[in-house]
Amino acid sequence: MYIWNWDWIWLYREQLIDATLLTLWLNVIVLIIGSLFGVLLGLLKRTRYKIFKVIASVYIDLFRTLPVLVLLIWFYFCMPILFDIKISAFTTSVLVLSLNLSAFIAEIVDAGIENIPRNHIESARLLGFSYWQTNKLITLPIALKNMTPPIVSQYINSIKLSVLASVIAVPELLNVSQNIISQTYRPLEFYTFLAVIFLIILLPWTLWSKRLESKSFFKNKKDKN
Amino acid sequence: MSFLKAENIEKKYSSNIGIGPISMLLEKNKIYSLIGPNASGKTTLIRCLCFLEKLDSGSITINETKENNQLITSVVFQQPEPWPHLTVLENVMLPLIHVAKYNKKDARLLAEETLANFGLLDRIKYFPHQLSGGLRQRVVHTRTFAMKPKYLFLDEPTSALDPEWTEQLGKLLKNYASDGNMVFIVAHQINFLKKISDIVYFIKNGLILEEGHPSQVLGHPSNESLQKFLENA
Repeated sequence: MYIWNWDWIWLYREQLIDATLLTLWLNVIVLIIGSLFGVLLGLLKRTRYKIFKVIASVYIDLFRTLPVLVLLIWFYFCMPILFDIKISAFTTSVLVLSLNLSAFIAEIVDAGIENIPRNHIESARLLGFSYWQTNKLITLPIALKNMTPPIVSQYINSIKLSVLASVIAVPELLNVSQNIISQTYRPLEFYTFLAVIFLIILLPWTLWSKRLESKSFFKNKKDKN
Repeated sequence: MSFLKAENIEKKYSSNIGIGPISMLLEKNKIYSLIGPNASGKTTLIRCLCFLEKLDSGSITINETKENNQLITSVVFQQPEPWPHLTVLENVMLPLIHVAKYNKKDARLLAEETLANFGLLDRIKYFPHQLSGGLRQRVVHTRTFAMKPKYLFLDEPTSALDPEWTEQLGKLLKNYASDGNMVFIVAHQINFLKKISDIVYFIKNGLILEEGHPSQVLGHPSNESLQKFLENA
């Protein structure tokens, strides 16, 4: 029978807190950059100009396909050799996770606008709304509400993927835990703690996304307020 | 006298699908109705008359002096869905505020007045997904009616309505036309159309095969395919 000893966690609390903060910081930057870039790309894919469409499509397909782990290793170890460009492990992680997230967000934005029934937009134009009024008052609010649940679940995925940054020695939660374990030989306590921390970070997002999904318009709900 | 005049309009999607050439003169104070089998071009014709489609040939002219913010043509579609992110009241008020430029208070008054006509006053705070199909259809009618387009086109406005509301819609349309507007309606309820229309058109394979007073077109049709069409009605 294994005897748990949680004192180890307390003993290494400072490193763990630092690692948690770094994980949070890394993800906040990725979510912001990835979202902004993703929305931009999604809109580019919907422009009338073919060249932008092609660029956006190639980008989206490329970064949706390439595994984050492969990209991390490639950017961190191959770039310096091939192009003599050296970037820090943290910056590499931000870059790669943002590339990955933005590709998925772009796809969601594209589909979110595509899936608005043409009826809603046409009836706005027929009631006299200008092109910009239609975008602002009809298309955008409907699209945003449709897009929010899939975007939130993409955020959750991205945060989970951020542990991969440990392979290039970014001192985030997994990396720091592994280092501590190699000194203390207490893998069960530290890996369990790691799981709990991720649960605490991600559970609210998961619950929120569920709530949003149940509020989606295109489900024919009959509850009266 | 103001009118909408379509001259030899044609719109083809492929060699044998589409409409035209069709000519028609639509005047105010009158209700026109269009009947015809499925896939005969009814919706395409409406879309052309409202400038939603680019014509292959022919022209549509509207002889109308445009007043400020006045809506000239508008359509209520076949599957009318109110905007899903707004309540019933907001759906009706939005165009009144942003297009007709009413202030909020007047927009609300007019919206409520029109909603009352459609029996929706007790539903103004509901979102569309909380309403049944018939009620949603009435919301879309209200939204368009409140904007008072001079030329109003309705594509199967009665598809989701019960007999009572079909009757009520007929009355509203009659009043609306007599206020100096044109109403153009596509529907399949022959008796309903008989009661309200001034002129009936029969369309088949994209061509108008018969037109005239309802008692003549619907009562004693001369065209063979129309006779067959009405036998089943």
